[in-house]
Amino acid sequence: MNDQQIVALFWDRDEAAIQNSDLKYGKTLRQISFNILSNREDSEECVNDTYIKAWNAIPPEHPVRLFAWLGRITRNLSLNRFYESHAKKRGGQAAVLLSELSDCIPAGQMVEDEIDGKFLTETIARWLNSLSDEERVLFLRRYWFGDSLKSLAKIHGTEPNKLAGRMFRLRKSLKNTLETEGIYL
Amino acid sequence: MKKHLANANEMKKEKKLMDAITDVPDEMIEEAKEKGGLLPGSEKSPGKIFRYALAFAACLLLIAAGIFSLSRAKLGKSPTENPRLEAARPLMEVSMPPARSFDDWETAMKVREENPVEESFTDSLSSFSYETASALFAGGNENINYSPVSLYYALAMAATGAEGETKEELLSLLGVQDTETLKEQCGNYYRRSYTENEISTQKISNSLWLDTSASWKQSFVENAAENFYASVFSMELGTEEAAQAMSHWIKEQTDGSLSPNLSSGGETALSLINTVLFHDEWIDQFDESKTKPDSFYPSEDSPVTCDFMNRTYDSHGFCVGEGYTRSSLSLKNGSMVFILPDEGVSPRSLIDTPEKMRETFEGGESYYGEVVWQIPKFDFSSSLELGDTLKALGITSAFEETADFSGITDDTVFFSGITQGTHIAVNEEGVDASAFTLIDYAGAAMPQGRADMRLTRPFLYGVTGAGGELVFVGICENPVN
Repeated sequence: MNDQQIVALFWDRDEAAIQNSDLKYGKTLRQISFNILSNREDSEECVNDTYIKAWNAIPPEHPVRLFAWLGRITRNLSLNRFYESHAKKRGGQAAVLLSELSDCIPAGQMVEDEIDGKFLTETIARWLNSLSDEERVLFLRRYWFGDSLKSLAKIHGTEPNKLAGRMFRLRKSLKNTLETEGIYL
Repeated sequence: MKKHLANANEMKKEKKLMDAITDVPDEMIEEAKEKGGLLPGSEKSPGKIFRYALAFAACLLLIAAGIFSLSRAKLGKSPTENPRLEAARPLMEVSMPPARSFDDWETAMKVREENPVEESFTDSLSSFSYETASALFAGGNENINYSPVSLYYALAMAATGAEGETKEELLSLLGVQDTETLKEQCGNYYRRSYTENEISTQKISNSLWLDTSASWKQSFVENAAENFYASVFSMELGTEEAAQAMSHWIKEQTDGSLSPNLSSGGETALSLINTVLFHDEWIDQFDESKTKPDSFYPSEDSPVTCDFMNRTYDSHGFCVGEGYTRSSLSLKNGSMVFILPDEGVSPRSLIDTPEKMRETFEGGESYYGEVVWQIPKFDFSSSLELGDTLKALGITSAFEETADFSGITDDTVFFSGITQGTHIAVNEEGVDASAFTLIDYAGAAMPQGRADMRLTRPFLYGVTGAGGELVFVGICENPVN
């Protein structure tokens, strides 16, 4: 079943919409959530909450790319849950990702100079677009899907430490881009 | 304290970056999904088991065109002159659209984008379906299965080779202004709906068989291949060899589910054969252990006993209209709609005009609530003579000797008859019990009642393909026949 048919089922208020979404994307959504929360029960709940949010949002929404749309909800729900449960202590897989991303933060800005999130996303998207396909996928698999370095290294036929070096260069490259664009976080 | 604030500020920035990454364009996310592969050893989906049931249908449409051949009497090679007829070769090889796997969403989207289909075209296809089906289903009390999309493609291909009044009549019924639009839209629709993967099949195949005595036009052969994925064969028709070659072609296109014994007699200059092979699986299985025999009450015969598949949905969509309740079940590539007439209402009375049929298939008031399904397993073949129906719908010129198919051949050919043979089987295939993650829908949509889709009396059904088109429509009067 294609995405538009699944969306049509949501519009028809047919519960098969959820079954189809889960059949098609459930596995990857659980993976995204688990990569952030490192907890099977929590990630299961986030995925179920994703479907409930989708059920309540469509209609009126009409997502064109359903996976990205659902994945973003799962990622946000999982990150929010992570932020709530880790407000005081840092730990878990998402903490590692956040810590790595601190490498990308341009130095020497004031909080008052914050740019809006939309512009930041646009800049990151432009930077991603300038990368090779492989590097772009690698970056997103790590920081969007939350894949572990070990598993990515396996897929890329390399060692985790070599991949870590590559990821570090990517983060530096993003930092340079943000600085060049005069972006303050 | 200062350190704590610095940490909090740092975390805020990281979070901001993380959130900004969340919102990168959909295309990039989809790309990473497709190219990134799945994590080895990552958390598995909790024991989800693929659930099956099977809906299968196949259809063939045969248009045998009459001849006027001047040189018929001169023809007549003996069967032994062409011993390898089963391997009849088309005038031009047809390349089918590339097959894509069930979950290859990216390619499916690309195919959709590259093959736009106008809403007016899908409207025309739908009007054609209702117009022809309501005319065809009038009278009788037999099981009937019909493929509107199959007839549409066969007539559309004929229309693109027709001129003058013949063309005008065909275009009028097909609901398209001109043959250029028809070619383009049929081609695009074909590429979009063509499905052949590990789960589903929706494959329309066309072939045109021309007698060696008739000339043929290269432009038509190319059009047939390009827009209708049709093969054109040139061989001596009316012979045993030709009949065998056609039977073989049909068998091959329908994966062996149809193997008609075509007669070799009669003077035929042109035959158009169209097959539809459709196979899909229910998204939700029917638990085989719940299949139980029960009584089905045909409208005129005494009750019969047959196997019924059973399941109940706590919250499922259904529609109630004047004289019927309608609900559908999702297939992995399309869906199947069932219409249960109210007691005392005959299925045919709900579709005796195109308007009533549309209302029955699309109208009514929508509800959401418990739906109890009881569906008889059925499996039957239908053979329909479509000529009279088409004449009644205004296609007259194509059946006369003055028919103008000059886009196909300069010789005079006309339809001598149109037959459509179909087969449909609806059943379940047993697999393990579902381990689907149950989701609490409370607050999502309040149940608004209850529907009994206990199909223990004659009912209507429709099978829609990936594009929502009616691939099959039928009436089950008696599942045992």
